[in-house]
Amino acid sequence: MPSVSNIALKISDLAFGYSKKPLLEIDELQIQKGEHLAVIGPSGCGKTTFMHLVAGLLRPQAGTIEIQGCDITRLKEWEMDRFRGRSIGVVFQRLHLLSAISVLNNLLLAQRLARMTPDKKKAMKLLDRLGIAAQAHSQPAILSQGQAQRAAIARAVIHNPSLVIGDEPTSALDNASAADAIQLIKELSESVGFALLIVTHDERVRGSMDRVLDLGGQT
Amino acid sequence: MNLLQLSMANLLLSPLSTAVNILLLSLGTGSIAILLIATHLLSAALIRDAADIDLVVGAKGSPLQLVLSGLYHADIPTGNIRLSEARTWMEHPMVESAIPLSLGDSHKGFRIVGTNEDYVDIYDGQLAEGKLPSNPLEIAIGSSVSKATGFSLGATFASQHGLDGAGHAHDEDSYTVVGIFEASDTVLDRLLITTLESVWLVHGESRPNSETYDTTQTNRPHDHEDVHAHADADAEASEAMLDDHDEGGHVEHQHEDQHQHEDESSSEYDGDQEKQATVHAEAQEITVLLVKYATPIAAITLPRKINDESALQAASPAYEITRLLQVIGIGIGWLQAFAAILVASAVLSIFAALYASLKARRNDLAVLRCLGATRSELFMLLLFEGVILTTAGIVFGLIAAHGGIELAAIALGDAQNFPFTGFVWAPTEFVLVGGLLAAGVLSSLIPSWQAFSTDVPRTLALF
Repeated sequence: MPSVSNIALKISDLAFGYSKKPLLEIDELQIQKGEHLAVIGPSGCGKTTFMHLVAGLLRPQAGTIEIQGCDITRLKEWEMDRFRGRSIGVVFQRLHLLSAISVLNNLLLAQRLARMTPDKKKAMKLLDRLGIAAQAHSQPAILSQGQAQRAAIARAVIHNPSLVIGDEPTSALDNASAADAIQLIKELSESVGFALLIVTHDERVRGSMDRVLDLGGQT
Repeated sequence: MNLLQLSMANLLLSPLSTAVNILLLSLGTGSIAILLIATHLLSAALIRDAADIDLVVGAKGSPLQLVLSGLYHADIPTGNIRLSEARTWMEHPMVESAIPLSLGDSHKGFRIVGTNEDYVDIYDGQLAEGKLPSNPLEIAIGSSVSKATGFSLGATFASQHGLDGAGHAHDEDSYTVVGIFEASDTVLDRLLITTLESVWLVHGESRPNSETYDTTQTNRPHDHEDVHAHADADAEASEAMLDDHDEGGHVEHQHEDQHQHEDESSSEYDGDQEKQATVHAEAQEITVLLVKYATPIAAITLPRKINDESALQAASPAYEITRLLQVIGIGIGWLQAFAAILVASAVLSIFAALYASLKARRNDLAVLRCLGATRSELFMLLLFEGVILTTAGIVFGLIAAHGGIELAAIALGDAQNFPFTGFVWAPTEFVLVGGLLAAGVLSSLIPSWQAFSTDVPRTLALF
C-alpha cells in the first residue's frame, strides 16, 4: 500500500458523459510520483476526455480526482486554473508553443502563470539540458519539429509540477525524435519527480511506460 | 514575461496591421486635437486681449470689424473719429475709463498705436528696459516686435502708412525706441506704443507748439479744465477745418488729406496762433475709444445711446466675439464631425483587428488556460491589446497635432494676429483622450469577452 504523500493522482468512482449515457467510468486509479502511465484505447473511447478531466478542464458528473491530495473537482474554476498552473504540466499533440514570444519567454510565462518568480537562469539551464539553449531566443516558428517538442516539454516541466499530462506528444514526430522525446520526458520525471500520464496510440510509447490504462477495456 | 508583455508581443506579430490601426486612430485623434487646440488658443487669446474692455467706440461700420481692429488689432479700422466727439463720451458719467487709440501706421507688419499709459496698464505691460514714451516721436515696442526687428533702445525708424506694409514711409518723422516691453502673451507683444501726439505729429495734425488734448485723462475731475478750455473754441474755424476730412472714411485715406492739410496750414502758422492751436485740437482724430463702464446699467443704455445719439458706433466685444465664435463654431463643428468619423472608423478597425486576431489565436488562448491563466486573465490580455492600440493612436495623434501646430507657429513667426504654440494643453483634450480610451476599451470588449468564454477542451480538440 503506497503512502498518501507518494500518490500523485488518485481517481475514485469517476463518471463523465455528454449525455445521460456515461462516456467514461473509472472506479479506482492511483499513480505514484515518478510513475509513468500510458492511456490507450480505440478512438472515441474517451482518452482525450480523460486527459481533460485530470487537467481540470472538464468536471465529472460523479467521483473525485485528487492531485497531490487535492480534490480538484471541488475547486472553483479560477482556483482550478491556478492549481493547474502550479501543479500540472501539459504537452500537446501539436506542441502549441505561443508563436508571438521566444522559446525562453514561453518558459518564463509558464513560470509566471504558476505564480512563481520567473527564473531565467533555471529556464536556460533546462533548455541547455534539453539541447536547445541556442534556440532560447528564437521564435517557435523557426524551430524544427524535434526542437519544438523539446521546448514544449521544457515548458511543461519548468515549474516543477506533480503531474505531467501528454496528449499524443509523439504523433507528429519521426521515430528517432519520438523516442528521443519520450526518453527525455522520462528522465525529467525521474529527476524532478512528477508522475507522467500519456494518452497515446503509439506502440513505442506504450512499451516504454510503467503501466497502461486501456480505456477501451478499462484495465 | 507577463500578460501585458504578451499583449505587446501579440501586436508586434502583425506589425503592418498594428501600424495601420495606430495610423488610422492617430489621424482621427490628431485632426480633432488640432481643432480643439486651435479653438482653445483662439478663445484664450480673445479673452486675454479683451482685457475687461466693455465697449469699443469708433467710426460707423461693421461692429465686429471695429472690435477686431480696435481691441485685437486683427482687422482694418472702420475709420477715424473726431477727438472732440469722442470726448463727449469719455466724460460721460457711465464711463469709468476710456482709452483713446490712434491707429493707421505700422512698421514691418507690426501696428503702431498712439495711446496713453492706461493702455499699457490694462495688459499689465512691464518694461524689460527703457521707459514709456512721453515725448514726441518716442516709442516703446512689444517683445515680439523687438525679436522680429532686432531693435534695441535708441533705434530709430520711419513708420509706414497703412497696416499692410505697402504704404509710403513717413520719412520726415522718425520714431526713436525708448522702451521694450517684457513678453506678456497679449496683443501688446505685437504692438509699437507711442503717444497720441506722436501719431498726430507724424500725420501733421499737431506740432509741438500746438495745444492738444490731454490724452492721459479718463473721467477724472482734475482733467476737465483742459477739456473745457477747448470747448470754447471757435466752432466755425473748427468746422471749416474738419470739412476737409472724410470722417467716416478709411483711416489710410484720411492720412493723405492730413498731409495736404499740413502743407496748406503751415503758411498760416505765423497768424493767429491761439486760434490755430484750437483748430488743431478740434481737428485731432483718434480711431477708437476703449471704454470701461462705471456701472452695470451702462451695458444696457450706453451702447444704444452712442449709436442713436451720435455719429459714432459702439460695439460690445463680448457680444461680437461670442457671435464670431458661433460662426467659427459652425465650421469647427463640421470639421469635428468629419474627424469623429475618422475616429469611429479607427475604433471599428481596432475592433476588426482584435476580432480577427482572436480567431487566429483561439488555440493560444486555450493553451494559456492549460498553463494556468484564468478566464479573467484572457479577458485582460485582449483588453490590453485594444488599450495599447488605442493609447498608441492617441499618443501619436496628440504628438502630431501639437508638433504640427508648433511647427506652423515657428514657420509663421511672430507677426500673426493671433500667435499660437503647440506647447499648450486644451482642457477639452482631456475629454478627447478619455472618450477615445473609452471607445478603445468598448471596441475591445467583444473580443475580450470571447477570449473569456474560450471553450478550452473544444478548442484543443480542433487543433
